[in-house]
Amino acid sequence: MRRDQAGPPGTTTRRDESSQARLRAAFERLFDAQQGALLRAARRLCGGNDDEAQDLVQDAAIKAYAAYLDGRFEEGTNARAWMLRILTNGFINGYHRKKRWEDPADIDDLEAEGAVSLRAAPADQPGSALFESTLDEPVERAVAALSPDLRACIELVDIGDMDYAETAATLDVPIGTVRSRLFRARQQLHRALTPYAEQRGLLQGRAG
Amino acid sequence: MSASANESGLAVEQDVRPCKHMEGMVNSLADGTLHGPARWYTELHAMHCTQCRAAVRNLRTVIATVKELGGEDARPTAKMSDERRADIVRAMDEVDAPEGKA
Repeated sequence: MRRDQAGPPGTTTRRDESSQARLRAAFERLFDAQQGALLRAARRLCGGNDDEAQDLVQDAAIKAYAAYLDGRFEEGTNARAWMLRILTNGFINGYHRKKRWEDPADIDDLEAEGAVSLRAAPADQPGSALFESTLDEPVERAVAALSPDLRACIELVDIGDMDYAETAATLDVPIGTVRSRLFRARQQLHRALTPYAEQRGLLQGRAG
Repeated sequence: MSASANESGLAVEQDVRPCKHMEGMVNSLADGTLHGPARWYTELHAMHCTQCRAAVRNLRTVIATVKELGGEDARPTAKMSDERRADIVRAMDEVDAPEGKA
């Protein structure tokens, strides 16, 4: 149900100023309560890159505000899950757009032709100082090191507590794809965390 | 993450793969989305298969560990920069007063 009888989505053509101010204040409270969790999720999704993460949260906040004015958030439902869905959807769309843009050229051929490296600078790679400074837990770093598609699944299902059907709809993939990505992601996380558990003497006995 | 959570959450066993044909069901059993006869069949299989049993345990450990990142008590220190917050406020102003109405 729309919040008013205004015109196109996100506009305020016929909404009076006081109700507009009330809606905005309510949204700001909602966003303020979730911004920490959203930024952390965005940092994991962006592989620890804080600048990209802040961009992602900014875009999500604006999309969420327009949707909120349009009545697409039901009061009393899980605001974090709603915003996380918008955030992850933005991330995955951006990732696929970037991939389409970058795919036509083969990076190895281009590098062979010129002396300039087109690959990410070492500071942009997981495991670098930048990565370590924004993601301060081994578990968080292990999630950020997954491929973007696997990362998005883990973020929505295991961290965001979303069910498979909602996740499939958010990522625009079949449920079976969500299932197989989750399995691969969890296997990789397990492998990534085993040395850490070993280091800390937390490793249990072998299978049995 | 607290020390106790580390102890329960990261006590992962060494890498174990389930039987190839059981991967999907083992994964779903571990996260609680497997129901009905498929659940019964997978539990029965895991009772007799040490690899699958260990894989279920490993997956559950990973799921529980990762889930903590989204908990209410997860570190709330991450904050948007003042500059970004100002950008958001400006963008919200534009949504409030679309072009031609400002």
